[in-house]
Amino acid sequence: MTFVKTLSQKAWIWSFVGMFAVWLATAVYTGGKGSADVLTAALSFATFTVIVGIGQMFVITTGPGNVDLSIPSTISLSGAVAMKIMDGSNAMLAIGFAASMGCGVAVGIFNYILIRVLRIPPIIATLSSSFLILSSAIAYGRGLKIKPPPLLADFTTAQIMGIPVLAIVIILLAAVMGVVLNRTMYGRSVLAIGQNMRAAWLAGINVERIRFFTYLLSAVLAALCGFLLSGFSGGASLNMGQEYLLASIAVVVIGGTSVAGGKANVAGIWGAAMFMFLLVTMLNTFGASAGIRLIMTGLIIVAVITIAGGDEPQR
Amino acid sequence: MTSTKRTNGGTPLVEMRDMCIAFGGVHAVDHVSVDLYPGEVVGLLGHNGAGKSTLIKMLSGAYQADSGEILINGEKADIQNPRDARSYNIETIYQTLALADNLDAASNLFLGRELVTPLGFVDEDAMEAESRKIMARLNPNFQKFAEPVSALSGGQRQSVAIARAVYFDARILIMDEPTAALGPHETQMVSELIQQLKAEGIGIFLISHDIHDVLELCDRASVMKNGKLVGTVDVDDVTDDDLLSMIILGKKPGEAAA
Repeated sequence: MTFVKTLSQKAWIWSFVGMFAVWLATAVYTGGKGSADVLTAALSFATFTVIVGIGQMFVITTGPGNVDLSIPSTISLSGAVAMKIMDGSNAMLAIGFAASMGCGVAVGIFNYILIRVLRIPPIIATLSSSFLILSSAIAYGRGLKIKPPPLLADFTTAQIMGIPVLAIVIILLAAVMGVVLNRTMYGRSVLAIGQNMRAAWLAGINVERIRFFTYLLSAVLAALCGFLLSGFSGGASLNMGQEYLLASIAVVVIGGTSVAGGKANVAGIWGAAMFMFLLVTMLNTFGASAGIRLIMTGLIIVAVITIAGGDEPQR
Repeated sequence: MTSTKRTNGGTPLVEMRDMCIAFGGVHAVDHVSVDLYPGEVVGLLGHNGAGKSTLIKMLSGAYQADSGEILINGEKADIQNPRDARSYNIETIYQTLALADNLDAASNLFLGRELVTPLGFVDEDAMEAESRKIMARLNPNFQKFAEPVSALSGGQRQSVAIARAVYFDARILIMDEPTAALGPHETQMVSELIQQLKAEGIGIFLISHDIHDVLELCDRASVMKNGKLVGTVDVDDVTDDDLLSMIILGKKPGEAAA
């Protein structure tokens, strides 16, 4: 009983509860037909949301006002650059990957310069940089209809017993990032800055260096997502990052990370990403029209956040 | 008023010479010089806004001086930020108890200087063990090691802040209103701690506006008013009325009050 109680106090558990609830509802409705396939699909698609969600989580955790809105355009730029450089050739895979990471590093540095040197609030800085990044992608990516190298396409769509290989890799990545968050000085510093930036600075933490690494991390993960996503979906497109703007923030919040900063959870991101996908699937299965679907999605997300946000009152 | 007990003329631990800092035309600290010897407690007195906290924040690295110089053990020190101050073994306990609320006591104690395992991971067990050791010395009643510090009382938070300063071998300790948030029992604890640290040869700047605290705990007192130093006196040579008139009138005892 105490186990259930401690578990129910963990904000992240609710995203998994929600996930199983909608999955069960779908399975019951269809009489269990194809419910395993639905899980496979959910894992496949959630993977990409999780990649950017982790980066967004670190950014949000550094405190109020910190958010990375340039994730969608970074995904597009990275995908476009990688596809064009690789030009469908397996031999160029490593170079394409390096170019993609290079995009991420460049975006991260650029975002941080806007925030630090020009002192623009992060929300505006990353929004405006996202226009610049997307414009670069448009200018660069004239030959967007390039197929990914077969090796990349195979890797991103491979499955072992119904479990996508990529999902396994990203589960490992999430585990590593969980350790980074809780057990390294970098992660500790991110949490401390999010709770009390001035106290962190007075305690001798190099706040600006930590923020720099955080925006860099977010951009690099977005670039990674762009690279893998264009392999998964058979090529890059300019609007392929679009849906990840709100999704990256939603999974962080539903996953039990505090928007006020200083409190983060990696595991919850996985639950939340699966939940978001399964929710839409469920509503589709029920035959809900697009309008109803959006309304229901909104309402259910609000409900989950309200329940999960039932934090023990502070003091 | 330079009749101090240090007639042997040793090198001061800290000398702040001719410090100035202005915020938008307001001279918050205006040509102030103070010093501190090993094993000594110097009180900084004054009204709110007299400039005592601002003066000391130039030593702790929270502010950069416009002019003036800081000497540590007789050598010129360059303090640009709190990290620099720490490298000179200057530790500060802030009035606002600068703690990260959702982290536990041990995490706060080691904030920015975490103990790590050989692989570079934060070693929580070692940090908690060390915290228990230092807390057993400072505040034996302290038990809440696993809870976030937001769940602690003012006095318990204060012990965490003090433990942080003491643990890292402070040579120079700055205490900004250390007893302002505390009950009588905890205030007593802080007083005993100050005596203990003094005996270990640590120099302490104690910022306060409670004259009785200063008379009880300090060896000397420097009084500030409107950003200027009124004077530094040996507390054995003055009464509380003398100190009060320095604070209010800005006159040293002996000078005719205007």
